[in-house]
Amino acid sequence: MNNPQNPKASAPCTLPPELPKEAVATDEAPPPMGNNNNTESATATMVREQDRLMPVANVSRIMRQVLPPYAKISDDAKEVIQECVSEFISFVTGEANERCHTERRKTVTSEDIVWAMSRLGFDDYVAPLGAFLQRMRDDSDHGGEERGGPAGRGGSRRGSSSLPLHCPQQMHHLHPAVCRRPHQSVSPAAGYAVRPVPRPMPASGYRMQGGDHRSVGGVAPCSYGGALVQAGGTQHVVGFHDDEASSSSENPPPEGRAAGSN
Amino acid sequence: MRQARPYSGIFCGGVSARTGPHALPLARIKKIMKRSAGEAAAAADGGARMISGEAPVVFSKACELFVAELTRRAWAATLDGKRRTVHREDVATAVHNTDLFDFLVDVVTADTAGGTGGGGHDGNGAL
Repeated sequence: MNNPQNPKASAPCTLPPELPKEAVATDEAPPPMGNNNNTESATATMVREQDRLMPVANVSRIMRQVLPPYAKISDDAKEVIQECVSEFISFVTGEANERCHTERRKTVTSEDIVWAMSRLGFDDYVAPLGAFLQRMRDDSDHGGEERGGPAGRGGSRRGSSSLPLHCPQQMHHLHPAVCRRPHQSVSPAAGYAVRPVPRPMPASGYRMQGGDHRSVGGVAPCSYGGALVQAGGTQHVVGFHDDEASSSSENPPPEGRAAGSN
Repeated sequence: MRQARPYSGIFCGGVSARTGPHALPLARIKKIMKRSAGEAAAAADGGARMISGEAPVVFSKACELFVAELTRRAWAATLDGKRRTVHREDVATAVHNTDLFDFLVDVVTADTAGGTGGGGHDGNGAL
């Protein structure tokens, strides 16, 4: 895959073309997952029901971007698409977990997610996701260079490597010094809080060597930080990177999680 | 940075991890992944499955593409019915007509049955 510096294919305005109706061998078993969702929905409270689905505001916004302006969306349609998105995440995650289990790994990476999508038939999603990942990593390079700039929101910042997309062999050689979190079951924690830079900068020329998503060894490792905006305007920063072989940093990351609006 | 509109510069230039908001919250995606990973890990080897920091970001983009695709097909079903409001039945029709969305058949049919769970309608086709 050879991507230019500014791939337009991953822009939300430019959506991929219509998917052809191809016969997909669904060797995964959706019925047990569906039954589990039904069982959970029967006994879940309102809060857990909210946590199980995607926020309806985000789903409605994406739907309205696709539909013409005069189209209306009923509430039950939004609700069923919320369910479909959660099922899609569980479906792809289950396939990625199978691959991790086969290869005796414990960390689900973005490469596993993209591989699972291509295996399950979402081939048209792989190219936009690859371009999206490359731009994200290039912006993370600039974010790493600007580490001496304004401080984050009370979180310690340390460099973490982003794994290459199509290089599974190199995964065993990458042992970055990241904060290791062996178990996380209560709430998602931010690895390090980085305030998102409002201006998008193009990638440097020397970092764009090669068409594949291979990191250049001579330069500093990429730093990664994810940011999202809740409906209430509160910023929730999530940047989390696990590596089973690394245990150099013993500091637990701060629990920077804002309360989502209901 | 607050909620970005579809016509702002962020969406035209593309959403990335540092320069703009994501279409879907990463914490929620990670929670769903963690629940799914927990089931698989408990059934297989009992160990905890860890999630890379990039995986929810990839899912944020992938779910956006997925919702867009499903919405377009549901809108096609809405136009077949000569209506302008997308209903649940349009989504169910789109799911049944597309082989790619076979894993969603239980979701759309079970939801139509209501809160009773397994009872009610079984079978394909628009209601």
